[in-house]
Amino acid sequence: MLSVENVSSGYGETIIVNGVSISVNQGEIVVIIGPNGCGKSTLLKTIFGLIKPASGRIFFGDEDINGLKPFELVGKGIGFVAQTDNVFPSLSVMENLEMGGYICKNPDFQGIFDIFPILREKKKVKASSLSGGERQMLAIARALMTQPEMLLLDEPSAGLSPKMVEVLMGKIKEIKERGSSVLLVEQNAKSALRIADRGYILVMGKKMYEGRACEMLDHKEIGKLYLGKKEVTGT
Amino acid sequence: MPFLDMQIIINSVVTGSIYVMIAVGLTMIYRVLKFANFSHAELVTFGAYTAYIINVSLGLNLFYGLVVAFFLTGLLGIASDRLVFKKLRSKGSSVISMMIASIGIGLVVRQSIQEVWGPQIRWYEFESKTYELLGGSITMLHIYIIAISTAIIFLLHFLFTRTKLGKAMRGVSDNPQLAMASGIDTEKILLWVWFIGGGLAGIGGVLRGADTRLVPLLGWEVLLSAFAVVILGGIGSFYGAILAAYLLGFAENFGVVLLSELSISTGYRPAIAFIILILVLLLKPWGIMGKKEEGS
Repeated sequence: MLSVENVSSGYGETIIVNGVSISVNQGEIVVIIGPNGCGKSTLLKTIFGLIKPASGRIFFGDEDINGLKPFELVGKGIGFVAQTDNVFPSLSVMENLEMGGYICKNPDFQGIFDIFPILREKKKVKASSLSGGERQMLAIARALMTQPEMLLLDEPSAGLSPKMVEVLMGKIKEIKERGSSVLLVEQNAKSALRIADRGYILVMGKKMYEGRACEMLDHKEIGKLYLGKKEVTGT
Repeated sequence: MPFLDMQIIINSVVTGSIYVMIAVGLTMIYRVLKFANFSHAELVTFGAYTAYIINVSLGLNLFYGLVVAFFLTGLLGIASDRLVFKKLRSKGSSVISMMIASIGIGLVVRQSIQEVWGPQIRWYEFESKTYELLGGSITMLHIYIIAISTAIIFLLHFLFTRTKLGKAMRGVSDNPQLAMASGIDTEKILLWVWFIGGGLAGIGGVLRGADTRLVPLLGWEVLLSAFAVVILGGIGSFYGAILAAYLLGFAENFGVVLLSELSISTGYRPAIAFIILILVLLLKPWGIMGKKEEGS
């Protein structure tokens, strides 16, 4: 469904993502993990047209989407949630959702409130007054308003409590079950892999590993390097 | 007791009503584009002279002049964005470059107006009866100024809180990248901001011109007060600007009485806006209804 072929990109002369190819199939949750500064977010921003790739091609379905503007990609069925600044602070929850559904003729607020009941309760509250977890829920809900076939999430669990992270991962799984594919960039690798179908590891802008999520969770080396697992005999 | 004089109250409300029209456009453009648009002064002047063509050159009712001034000044706002500011934006120019460019645009428009109509004072042609009101006198013109301004404030409130376009304007000024990620064509929204902000400046110009007289420096004269209103209200705050416009209207009109009571020349009237501006910047730089700079 989404296929990134040999993409390199970065800021100005600096290349951060170096010849990476990844793909997301219909109905999949795919997670990209890796150390800080490995280019995870840059790759996601490149897919969403916020950064122009230096080389490589990006296909959504059969269409080459390279060079399209973010708002055009939204029209094609791609949703994006940035890591920070992902809500309109001075707008109410309801107004944020209205903005999310800006291009929709009949935005489906009820469907969104069914997934995120807390937002129904806080409909009239300004987004700037929400807690971190609620704000993240709103950010995802906003992107879901267009009922995207493909949802790109940039570290949605950053800064959330472990309990909230689990709630959020549950919601992402629910989103998949409702028919969207999800490409997830995560620092919280373990929680993300638990809900994912497949995963990629990016190191220094290059793809180091790809595989099924459950295999990655059991992989000894990956566990040690990226999932914070400790040797049983260690302290 | 001159401070409770009904006449001063009426004059203050009229001054405030004119400032609202000018300052709201200025604050709207600031909020979305983050730079102080000095050419706003010339949008005001341009509006005033546009209405002059309709009213005096064509001999039509000034009200038609007001409507035409709104549309044409709005279009001039759009033109200045397309021809200059959009190009600077796409190059990633700093807000300082934008501000200096706006001073340049202002100069071009002001000199062009002076070239066409000359520096001499001109007046609109209309009749305005005077009525008694609680010991003060109010002219029909003043009633119109207050009514037009109030009606527009309500229309704007409706626009920002009830319409998709108005909410998108607020969204774009909150976070342009997120607006784009929501499928909003931000450049299109910007055009509307320029059109409405510019159009309001044009209306402000007609009201000011009708209340005083027309000179090529008409907009420049009120620019400082407009900036004082925007900063006092909290930069980018619509409701703050409205409140601040009336506050400054009162401060200037009461201040003039105070100046003459103290045997100081009333020529110092413009200093009142300056003093308020300096005090706000020193004591409460985020204004009465603005937000302190905060992280996301």
